[in-house]
Amino acid sequence: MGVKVIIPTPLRQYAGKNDSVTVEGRTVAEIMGNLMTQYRDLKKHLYNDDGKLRSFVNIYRNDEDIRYLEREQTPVKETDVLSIVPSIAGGACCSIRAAR
Amino acid sequence: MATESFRRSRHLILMPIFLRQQDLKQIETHGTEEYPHECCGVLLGRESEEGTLVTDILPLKNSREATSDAPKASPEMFDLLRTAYRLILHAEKKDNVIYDWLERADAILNSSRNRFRILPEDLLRSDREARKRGVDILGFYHSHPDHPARPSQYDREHLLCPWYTTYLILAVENGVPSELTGWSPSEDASNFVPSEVIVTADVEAPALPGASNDKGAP
Repeated sequence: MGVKVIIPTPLRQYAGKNDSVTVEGRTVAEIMGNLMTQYRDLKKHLYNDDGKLRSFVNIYRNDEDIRYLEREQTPVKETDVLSIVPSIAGGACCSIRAAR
Repeated sequence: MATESFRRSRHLILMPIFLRQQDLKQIETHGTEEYPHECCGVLLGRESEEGTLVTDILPLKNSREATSDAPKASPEMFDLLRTAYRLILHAEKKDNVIYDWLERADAILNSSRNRFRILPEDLLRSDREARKRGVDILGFYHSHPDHPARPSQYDREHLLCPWYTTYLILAVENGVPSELTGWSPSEDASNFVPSEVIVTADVEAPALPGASNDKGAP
């Protein structure tokens, strides 16, 4: 057995065309590590060169964002489902980031 | 895989975005109803050798809150604030007073008058819906109230998700939709490049040559 991980539609092509895969692990970190071992092409889409999750990538355990749980150390049971979801935001103009 | 090659080739040969009249109308209605706030939603469909075929749109809630000040400002005042913000942003010398002013302006400009955000849980639901309908999430649409239908610096910094190929921006001037433009991420995902939007009159989503007609769940 293992934990079901839902793959976002644009990334299915890097996960053997599967919309979900079952991966062994007891924490989010273990499961994501095993997922990257199983589907190496997924890694560059989810992690930056420093090995950290890209800023726009969110991971949900069922309907909860792991940022509000124990982040990558969040425990996961076999009955749980992990989902990978990007942040999507935008807007008309102006960002203070450019000034700082 | 075919889809992968279409995605890659779109960056080299700009592929058009096929949008049905009824979906264009729905995006325009959404933009009008939400004015002066930004609207946003998901584009569902398929990629093919002919281009991107939008088969459905899912209007979503803009999770950016309206600040107490922003709704009171007229479009002219809001435009003035944007212009002043840009001028100060590019000023050579900035002291703490200017930074304080920028922070205050940011609070207004970061409201739903000027920004949109799709909650991950809404995107998760959209993804489930796409799977149910046997299509993909192609990308997203949003409106620019009283602002051109061009990607902003903020769009480039926050909206560019290289996973998706299709972005539509609707300009809404004084509450009236004025222009809809299509965009794709550049090959290095550092910018948007324009894509032609072809509006079709079909009521039912046409099957493009090379597109899968399998509507069943994957």
